[in-house]
Amino acid sequence: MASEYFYLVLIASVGVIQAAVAYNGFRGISFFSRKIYGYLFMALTLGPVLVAFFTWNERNLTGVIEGREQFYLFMLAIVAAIGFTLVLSSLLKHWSLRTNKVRHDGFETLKEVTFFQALRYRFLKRQ
Amino acid sequence: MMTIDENIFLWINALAGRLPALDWLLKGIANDYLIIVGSCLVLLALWVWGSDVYQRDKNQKAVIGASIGLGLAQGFVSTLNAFYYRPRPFTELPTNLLFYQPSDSSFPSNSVAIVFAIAFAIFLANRKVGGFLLVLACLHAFSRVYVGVHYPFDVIVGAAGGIIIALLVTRVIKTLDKWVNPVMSLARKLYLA
Repeated sequence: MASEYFYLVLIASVGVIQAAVAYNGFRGISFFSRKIYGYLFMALTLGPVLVAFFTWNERNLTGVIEGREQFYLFMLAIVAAIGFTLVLSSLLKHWSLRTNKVRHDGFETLKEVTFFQALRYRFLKRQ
Repeated sequence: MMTIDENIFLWINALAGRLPALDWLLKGIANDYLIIVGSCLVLLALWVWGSDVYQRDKNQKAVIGASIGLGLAQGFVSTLNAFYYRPRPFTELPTNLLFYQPSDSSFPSNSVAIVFAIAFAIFLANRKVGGFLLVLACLHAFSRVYVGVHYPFDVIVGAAGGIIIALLVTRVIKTLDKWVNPVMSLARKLYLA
């Protein structure tokens, strides 16, 4: 039951992140080249997860995950989703988003480069 | 007071079992996961959301407030539970129970306190998203009474507790801006905010 909860939150989180970054134009952490694919990805991931949570008590008749355990599982799933997103998007966009300059700070940077490219420019001073 | 509470409970809970579609809908909304997880996913989206840096900064501070509020709401309920145990309505009254039988204290509603703490913290920074979350929180609160696991007073106190916690946390975060800003600045340097 705990692993079911973890995977559902993980899948939904990846979908939500993809839609949010697509809407805001953060190409560096998007898996896709077009915004519409980001929205479609969210619909395909978040929709089934919401249905699964909606019908949770039909599948787990007396199933309860305690509040504290739920909190830890949720945080773990979110961290895993962010990590997965940063790694996969950096791999997918590594060649298409190469640039010689990082012009901004924070999330704005990720409109032009991937997360790991941005970190490399910051810490290795390759500007 | 208790009689009014019990009467309102009986009146709302008497609606259960009449319309199977409504029962099915409110059973789904009443469960311990859907609205809480949904609200937390909205927080995740808000962390990234924002038309400009200023808007995003405002959203991110609201997300920090909502997350702290979530923890404090849980603490608020646990503290009250340690001092006062109220049996669930289905153990005391004839109830149309559409849910499993929780064994912890009925007063105050834990899940309602949490969803209201999140929704109101967001509402203070972003009326549209916060308003949407508040509607979901109200639906969740109503559904908990409808399915027979809480008295109305349990959800009212849960909601009030969540709202007060959200107000306090938001005020404290504004006061402690000079300590919050360096954390945000570090997150920005690491491209996480």
